[in-house]
Amino acid sequence: MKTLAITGPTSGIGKETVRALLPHFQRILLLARDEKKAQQLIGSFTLAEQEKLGFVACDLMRMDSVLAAADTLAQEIPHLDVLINNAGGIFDEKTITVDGFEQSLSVNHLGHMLLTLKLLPLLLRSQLKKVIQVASEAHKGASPRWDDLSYSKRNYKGFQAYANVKLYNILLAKSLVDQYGAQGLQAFSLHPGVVKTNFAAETKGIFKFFWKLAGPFMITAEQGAKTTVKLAKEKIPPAYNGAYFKKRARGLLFFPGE
Amino acid sequence: MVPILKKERAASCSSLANSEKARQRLWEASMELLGPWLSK
Repeated sequence: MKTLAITGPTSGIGKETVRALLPHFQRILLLARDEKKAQQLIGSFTLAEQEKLGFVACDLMRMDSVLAAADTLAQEIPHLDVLINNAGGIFDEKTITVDGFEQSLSVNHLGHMLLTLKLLPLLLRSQLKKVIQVASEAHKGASPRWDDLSYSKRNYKGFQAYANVKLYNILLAKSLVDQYGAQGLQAFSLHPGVVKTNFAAETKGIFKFFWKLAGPFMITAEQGAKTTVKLAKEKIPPAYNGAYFKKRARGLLFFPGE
Repeated sequence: MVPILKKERAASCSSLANSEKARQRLWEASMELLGPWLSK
């Protein structure tokens, strides 16, 4: 039985990823904070499709919730073929989580890293053994301080914090290959494109202005899900293990036929 | 298997994203932060 788990499945790219991958997997576990939204998504499918789907509570802002989600998965499924670390967000204001982490770091990076490491036994028991990190071209604006991932020693800027965590998504995919590639683990990261979702709804200032300005040129969530979907369902040559993917751009990995 | 055109490569990312040292620093820093939960 081919199984998949995805974070951030209830809206935007995540929702479209679930829709597109449903025919290709026998079991898809939706790791989400909001059960109502997850159940609404499940309810939007046919009864036969609904049987493939399951909700698992997972709040990436609380590491205990991430641990509980990993435990639930370990009880529900014998192996996990693909883990898609899709959830993400940009936050204008600096907020510290109950665990003492800056919110953007927790949601976009640490929560996913903990989840992935705790799910490794399940992943390594599967046939596909894939981890997919939804990153962004925004990583090119990163300016990390390795001794201050949570912004306790410098001023917080929402976009820079976002750029940093998107860099971490790419680095983590590569590190997972460094650490577990010999055991067959595959890990990839990708830029989905600039997608018209409510992703920047909570931002303000210059970022919100540019987001609005770019609106007419943005792609749909369905289009934005395509690279994730390809990476999840296709066999990727071993030479590309750890790679960062972007769709339809010069000099980048290209999936023929599109 | 997805056919790959020879001249095409995985996306270019920033030099930091390709840096082995950055990879190592992030791994170490994150493992330290996650320590209490990784040991649970």
